[in-house]
Amino acid sequence: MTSQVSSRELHDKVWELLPWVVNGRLARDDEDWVARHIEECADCRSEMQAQERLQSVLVNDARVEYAPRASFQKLATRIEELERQMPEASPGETIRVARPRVPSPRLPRWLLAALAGQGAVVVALAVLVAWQNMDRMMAPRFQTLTTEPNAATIRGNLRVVLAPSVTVADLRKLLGSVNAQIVAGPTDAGVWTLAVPYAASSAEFTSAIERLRADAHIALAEPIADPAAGPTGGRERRP
Amino acid sequence: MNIQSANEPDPLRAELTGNESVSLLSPQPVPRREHERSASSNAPGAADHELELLQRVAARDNAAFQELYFIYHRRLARFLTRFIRRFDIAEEVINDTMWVVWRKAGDFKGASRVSTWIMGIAYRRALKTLQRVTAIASHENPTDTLPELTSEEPLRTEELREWLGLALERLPLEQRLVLELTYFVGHSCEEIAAIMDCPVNTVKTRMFHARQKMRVMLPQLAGPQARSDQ
Repeated sequence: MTSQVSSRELHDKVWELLPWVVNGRLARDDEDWVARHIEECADCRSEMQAQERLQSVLVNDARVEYAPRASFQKLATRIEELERQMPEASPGETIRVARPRVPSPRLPRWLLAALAGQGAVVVALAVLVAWQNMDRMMAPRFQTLTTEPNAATIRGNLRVVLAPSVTVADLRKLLGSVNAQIVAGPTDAGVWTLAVPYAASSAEFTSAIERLRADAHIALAEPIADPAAGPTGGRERRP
Repeated sequence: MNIQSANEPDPLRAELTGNESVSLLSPQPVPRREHERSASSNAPGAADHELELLQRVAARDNAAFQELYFIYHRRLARFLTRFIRRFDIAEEVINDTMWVVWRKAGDFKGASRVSTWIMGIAYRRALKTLQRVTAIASHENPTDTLPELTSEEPLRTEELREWLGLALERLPLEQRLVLELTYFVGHSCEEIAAIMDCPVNTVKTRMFHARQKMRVMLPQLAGPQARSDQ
């Protein structure tokens, strides 16, 4: 405190701070000048004693103790229930007080409007995609051996049964002639599964099948739409 | 009422086992520290220990959370039941407060003492609860209607305590809160300003008026009239 401050003002300031002198929580910057005044001021010393008595009565008022464990169990149960409901997220973000009396905070109007707009865009996109794929979605998903190869079979493989006299050299030459590759086989029944990966169109694929069927080394050649589908049999061609 | 006598066995007396991975629901022995004996947050080492506990809580340490809970349950239960007579409502404030502590421990940046942060949460929760339940009487001019509290006879400590309780109830809520946060909980003037979200001078003024009224109601506590301008 500076010397410009009158003794009356100084006294009033110290008087105001006496409770925090009593509880030991006075700011360090204030300790010296406050202590000097108290030393000189009988009124402040007397008030300090009164406040110390008040503090003593308050602090020692411990006639009853509250059992913390029961209260803690309630809170722990609440936390664990919520963590069990949402175990995948971090606890700090998922724990909520389970108090049905307290309504959850309402979303601001601008956020509701934004969410509604976002939802409308999602629905519109879904309708557009569905409309563009309508033809494909409406096309028959089944196929029989009598069905002409359609777009779905372009990407399909074909199964062949080789003539008993075919050599490895014959097979290599045959595969090369139609740009086909062996992808499975032979099965117990002697069926090989071939792929024609470079067939650019159904016409090219059909052409490859026809050339295989015309070859004396091929006993059977049939297209399949799904490589996972089992052998469906076919027309036999004897050499 | 979920209370027990001070003479009953205290669960806080158990030893710490250091088991940090057990369920929150599992009984967790918690060490009893000297600063837990009173409601004060001003014991040596208490602030550092509470900061360490809070940091462990942020890392989801259940044992640390339980220990911190017990420290603040003791402090808050005694503090809050001075204002909220029903313990079940005070317990609701305590658990809401400690739930926020569990959830927000990672957000605590150490700008204040842990006790200031937690008491600030509790203060705001308590105010909301007090608005809901009218468990406290707040009078603007309590001294006008309380001649029965004054006595010429010296009071014994027990009598003084009872009269003090009556006098405190007649203080305006904000003044009483400052008085109790100072003497019962042990906060500094600046910390109380942070807890109550008001200027430091407001805290000093509230305390000044609380002391004046207490002096009138309980002359046995009083010192001399010293501020000439009041």
